[in-house]
Amino acid sequence: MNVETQISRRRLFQGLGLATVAGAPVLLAACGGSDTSTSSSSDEVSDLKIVQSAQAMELAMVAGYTKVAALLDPKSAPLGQEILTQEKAHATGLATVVGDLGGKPAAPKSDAEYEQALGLAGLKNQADALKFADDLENAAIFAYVDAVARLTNGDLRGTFCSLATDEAEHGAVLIGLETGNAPAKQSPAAFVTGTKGAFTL
Amino acid sequence: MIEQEATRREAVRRGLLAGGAIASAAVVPAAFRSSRAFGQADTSTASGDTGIIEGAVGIEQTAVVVYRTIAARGLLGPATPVAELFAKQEQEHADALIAALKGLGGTPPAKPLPTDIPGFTEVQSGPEALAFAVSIENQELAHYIEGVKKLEDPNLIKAVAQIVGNEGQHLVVLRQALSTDPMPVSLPTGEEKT
Repeated sequence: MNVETQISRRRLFQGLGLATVAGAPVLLAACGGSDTSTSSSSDEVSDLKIVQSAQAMELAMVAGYTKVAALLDPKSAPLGQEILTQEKAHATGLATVVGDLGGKPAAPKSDAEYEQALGLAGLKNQADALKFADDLENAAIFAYVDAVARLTNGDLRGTFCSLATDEAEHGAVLIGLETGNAPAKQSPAAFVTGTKGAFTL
Repeated sequence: MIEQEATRREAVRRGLLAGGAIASAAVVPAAFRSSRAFGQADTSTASGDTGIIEGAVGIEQTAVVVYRTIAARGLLGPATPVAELFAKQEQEHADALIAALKGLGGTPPAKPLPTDIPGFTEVQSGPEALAFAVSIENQELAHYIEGVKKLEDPNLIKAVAQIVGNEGQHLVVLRQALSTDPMPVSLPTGEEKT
């Protein structure tokens, strides 16, 4: 986990070599944005706002998967934990990048706030958890795909495509848990768009 | 404030240098580097978006040939429909990219023959076919992750983001069939070995 996190942070940082300024907050429907600071060019500010929002989204994903992982049966739990670890790596990597670029990373909300925003109290069993997690991944994919073309920094676009790929992998794993690994359901379409959901970057 | 800006610029410079290092490292498996299929991407004289999409078409066409051949040879046994499904989806990627390429004034590269794809004729078993497919998927991913950094057209950028998700789904299925970790890294770049 430590190595994975370190690699992720390094790659994120390397991939973000261009952005130089801080940005203002972007409110997320479910997870909140981050703090404000000064800026220079509007393109750079726009990029940083998107990254900050993505970091806040990943914090919400972590909160969601913390609940999900606790509801999975012993056979499925290791994969749930692995996804949770990767979402933490995304959040940590993005927070590091935001900070390195002069912005202020979003702080995690309280458990109660996430529970309220994401409806976590309604999750009672594994089926609920897998459905919720799948929705969460689709919302994240939609957010990354929607945002990527608005990024002015090329390296950031590469990073966001990697993140979208990882969320799509998570989705395929979740569907696999639901279906007993049915490839046609794990890879249902040639273009993965996600579904508009709780997150806006 | 000036000092802070200088620090940021230095961070940018270091980041750019590091990014360059990644670009050179984010390559396809060594066995494929000199392949004709990859050569289609590497030897393109087109530049900018056209060159990137031309390369992507070549790689997608290679993936189609690989999956179709795996299916036709029955290398995956009862899982042959998986290869057929992935061939169909790779073809959809290729078709969309060919349309985009023509719109840009480019010319699609020729489809490779199975024998043009180095190492592919040596694939004789199901596990070898799955491993080869993983390599192809990672090659596609690497091309897209690097290419999207340079693409300018917003629609092409979005299309790439949607395609890489599908390649990620393919990788999960392939890795599960190989009984390996279906999602080995948190930030896939195509550099992964399996």
